Amino acid sequence: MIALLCSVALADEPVPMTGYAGHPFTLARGEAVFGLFRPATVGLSDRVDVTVPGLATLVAPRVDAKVEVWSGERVGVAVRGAVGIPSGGLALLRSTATVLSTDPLQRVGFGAVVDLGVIGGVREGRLHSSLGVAVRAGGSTGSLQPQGVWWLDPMLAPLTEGPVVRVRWVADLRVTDRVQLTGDVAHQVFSGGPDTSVRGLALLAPSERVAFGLGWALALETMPGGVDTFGMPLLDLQVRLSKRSGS
Amino acid sequence: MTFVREAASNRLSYAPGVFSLRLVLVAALLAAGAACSPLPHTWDPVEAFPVVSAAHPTPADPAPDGLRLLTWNLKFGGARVDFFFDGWGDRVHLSEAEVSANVDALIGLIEEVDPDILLAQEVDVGSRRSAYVDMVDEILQRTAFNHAAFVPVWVVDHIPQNGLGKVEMGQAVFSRYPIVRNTRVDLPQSGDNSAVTNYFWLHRAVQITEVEVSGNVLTVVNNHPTAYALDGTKQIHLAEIFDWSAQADGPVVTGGDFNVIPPGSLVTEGFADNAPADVPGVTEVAYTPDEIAALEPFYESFSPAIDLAAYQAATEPVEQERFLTHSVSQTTGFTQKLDYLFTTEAWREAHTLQAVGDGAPAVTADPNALSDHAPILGVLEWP
Repeated sequence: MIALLCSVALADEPVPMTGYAGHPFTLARGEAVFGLFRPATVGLSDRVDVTVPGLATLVAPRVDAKVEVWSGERVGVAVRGAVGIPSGGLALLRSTATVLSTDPLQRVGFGAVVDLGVIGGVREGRLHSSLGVAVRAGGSTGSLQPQGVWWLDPMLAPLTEGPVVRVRWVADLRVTDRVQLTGDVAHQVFSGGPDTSVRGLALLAPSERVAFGLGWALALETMPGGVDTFGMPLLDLQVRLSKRSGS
Repeated sequence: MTFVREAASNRLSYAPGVFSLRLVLVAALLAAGAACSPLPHTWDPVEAFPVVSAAHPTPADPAPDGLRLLTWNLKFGGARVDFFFDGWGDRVHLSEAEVSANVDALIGLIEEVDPDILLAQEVDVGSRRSAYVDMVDEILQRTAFNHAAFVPVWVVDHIPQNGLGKVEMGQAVFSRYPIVRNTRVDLPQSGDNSAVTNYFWLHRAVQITEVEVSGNVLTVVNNHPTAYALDGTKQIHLAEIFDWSAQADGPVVTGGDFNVIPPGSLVTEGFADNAPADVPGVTEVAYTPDEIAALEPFYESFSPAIDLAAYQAATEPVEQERFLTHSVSQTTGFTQKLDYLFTTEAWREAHTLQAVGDGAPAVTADPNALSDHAPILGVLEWP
């Protein structure tokens, strides 16, 4: 359960000292951000970001693109989409007899996952706030039956558990040039994992190129006995390849 | 590491597995995500759980002349599919169609027996192995029961063995009459298991419910203690079950799958349903005198639904066969008596429902095809 939060958090966490991730606003052309766990994001142009996952690429390669379709002084809108091909990863995981079923009646075929969404955001002084909605769905030619592996990588989950709709609100508050508070609330339906997650992260930038993050995440899942709540710490180290940190 | 469930038991032992580069890779990925949080869920030593009601209630006799109580280990809707952890097969997950058919059959037999109260063990409500079917909801909404009390005993977000995945299983009491209390009492885990095994393993529990019938309260204690822990945990579990049952006020029924055979059993090891000896990790099932003796307080302090004297009067194993309630294999027939109903009151009649034609009225469904346990029906004098 919490593993999902980890992967979600580390996959989508905002660019340090900016309010880009989860917002419609994109990196500048040539700018890039890498994290210890978070995916690598590169600005292809001033309006297009491309992201590839980090360690999860080994089992679930995917590409995520975000296009800023409209941007004013305070308001922006972007569309984003991702395509993943996790079937090779699923086969790999299954062969370990650890993650996926070894049931002889189930076969892993070629599979792909598509994730589409739209984001709207507002910049108001030191505060950036955005609301996004996304739909993930996957399909496979195999007979592998639904199994929640969301805790490993959210892009693996839809292939085996059906379409997932996710609504996410993100807010970033730049406290000083070196400190930023960021948080988000996400709610997803039709998922085998948590219904709701809440995260808070404090980012501290000792230099213009490096930021450390420390925070806490909370997940809530509705179960027959009531709502289960789980918390976990978040920790990250992020590096950017331009001098826009703290801007 | 490979977990293997021992034949005719619920205990996992583990045998060395293949430690490949792939496993290292997956372990690293798992560690990256899972290090932040435990995958299993745990509960307070004593914790109250909610009671749910049927959407369309069925009128219950306000002044019943006797109460029909049924105890049944439902094997999470797995019926007689040969799972890898039983040692007899290689199935891991059931399809939704398989589970639906099995649950339909379970409900069919329940409706035939027509109990007022059901003590159910191994009830899945959100497990991958049983296609995430909520058995509590299915049984509650599709039978004459009006209320259901569920307590979890095994909730793990992901169990690695054979990709078993998410498990959400517990015990449930179903009743035509209002359930006014549903308490879960945590039982200790076995010290036999490694810390890693226990991390993913069950947290057994005593489920204490109170059912209000015609102005009186009947305490119903639903149990499923550890199966084959050899370090005395089973005796501890049975002692706790006895203490909680004995200290309850008023009339009490305590029952369930006790995972131990009765005093006077003529066969205590070498059961016919033991998995083939060449199945890795499977060891032979046997019951020690200390484990069997742990049942004696129940027979001394309560009235058993199934008379012990008749069981002990047997001089040949074949004479005890009609009392048996458990077998991993459908083909061998039942090999051990593990399921019980005891009360502080008096039983009017009782039946071990092993086959078509058992019970009164006689059942037409075959219990041996529906679970690895046979149900026991007891008709309680009431009030």
